[in-house]
Amino acid sequence: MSHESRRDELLLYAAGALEGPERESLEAHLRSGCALCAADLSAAEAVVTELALSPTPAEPPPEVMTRLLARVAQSSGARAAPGLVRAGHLLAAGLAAVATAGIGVALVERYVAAPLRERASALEEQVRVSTGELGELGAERDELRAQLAEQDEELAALEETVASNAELLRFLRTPGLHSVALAATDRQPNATARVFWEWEDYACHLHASGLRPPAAERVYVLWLYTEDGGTIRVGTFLPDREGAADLFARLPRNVGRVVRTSVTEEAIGAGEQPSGAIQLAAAVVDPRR
Amino acid sequence: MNAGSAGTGELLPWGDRRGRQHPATSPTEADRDRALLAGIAARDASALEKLYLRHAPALFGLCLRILGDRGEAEEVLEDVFFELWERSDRFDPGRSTPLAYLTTLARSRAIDRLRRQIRRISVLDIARSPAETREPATDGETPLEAAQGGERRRLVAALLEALDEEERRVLELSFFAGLSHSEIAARLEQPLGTVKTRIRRALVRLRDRLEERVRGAELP
Repeated sequence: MSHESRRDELLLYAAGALEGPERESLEAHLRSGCALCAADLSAAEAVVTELALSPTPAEPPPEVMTRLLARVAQSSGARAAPGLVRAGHLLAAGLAAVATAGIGVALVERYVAAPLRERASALEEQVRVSTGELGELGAERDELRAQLAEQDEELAALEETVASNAELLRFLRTPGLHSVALAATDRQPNATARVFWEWEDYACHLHASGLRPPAAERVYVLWLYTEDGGTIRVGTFLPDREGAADLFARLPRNVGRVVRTSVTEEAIGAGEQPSGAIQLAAAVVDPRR
Repeated sequence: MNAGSAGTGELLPWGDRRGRQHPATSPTEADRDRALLAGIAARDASALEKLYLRHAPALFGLCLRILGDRGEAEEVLEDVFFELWERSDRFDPGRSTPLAYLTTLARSRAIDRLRRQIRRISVLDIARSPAETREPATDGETPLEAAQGGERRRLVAALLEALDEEERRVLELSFFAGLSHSEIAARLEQPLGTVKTRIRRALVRLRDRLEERVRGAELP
């Protein structure tokens, strides 16, 4: 079977639209560990996810999350935020109270005269109005909670940036700092980059600017190559909107003499050896003996 | 060897932390989802809550499209996230993104429920298309969607709309109503081979047009 036909079959398979012997045959082929098909299956699943997300989104009512969290609170091993567990228990207690009230109303209906029935329906109206208001308050609470979560994330990101900048500053003030400029390949016509080394402390820092963004689901990886033929994956990074990037990393204490460094573009989660296109590279003079 | 993880940890200076790419394709968004799934695996209910807030509208839209009934769609949505909580170990981070996993789970559970409903109504009436008679989701674009890739969703919807009418029809019956090839053939009174060809063509066209758009967007 041609690769193109196989690629189409993987698309049908991902969409749940491959049946019978064709499906069995494809599954057997996938089990054989074909790397090309595994990659094509991931791409097919991305298309199918887009198709599944094509209907117009709709906001579910807040009760769905309340019910979900109540179930979670009652399930074993929940390490929920205390407020959430409490909300779950309160909801369970509330449901029991509502059930009891229901029985009470039934008895009143059966045994009590008309004036009391009128009073009951007035109360029901009040409950209906209050329930509506409660729903609105719930929606407002959910919105505030979402905003809070977003602000927490922003704060965490800022703290991370401050911490990494402080470390960078300490590093740049280190006496005996070495550096090497990386040459850009045709893939990065506007990039400039430099790696700083602090050999005594086994630390290195990459600073780059003018980088193009990598393709979707891909990142840049900094590699070191040692005299004894070893390859070290130092870390991954992405440029910001202006094309600038920083990567700070500690090297293993037993690192051999470094002779070369490069930056390649790799798929997220790719292995410990470079396989993507080289973006930047340089020879390194490691002063250690 | 990964020196970063052995030492100070890898620094990922994602440029736009409030990423504007599609949640399924943006590394930032998918990584954030992965971190939340790790929290869920560690039994952190606030991680589940955050993941729910991020994706519930998109998944609820999908469930509504399949089931056409808000009550049923709400129950499926709740079950999907509870199943994620109970069986988070089923997600394989090496195989797909969390959003792809959640989408597959939601679609599968909604279609299971739809088929049970149909059996309840009449086994003989299965040929009637549920997907065609469903009420549309009319809530419109939410702020979350606007932030997370509404444009991309509209593009896919437009590409779907632009397919040949017959091809789109069989694709929708297969994908959103969960009908088998033979059920679609019976429903539309078409030869089985024609149905298979149309589903394949529709999906391939959709994929190719999406790829064309991506290539077009990458050009300077």
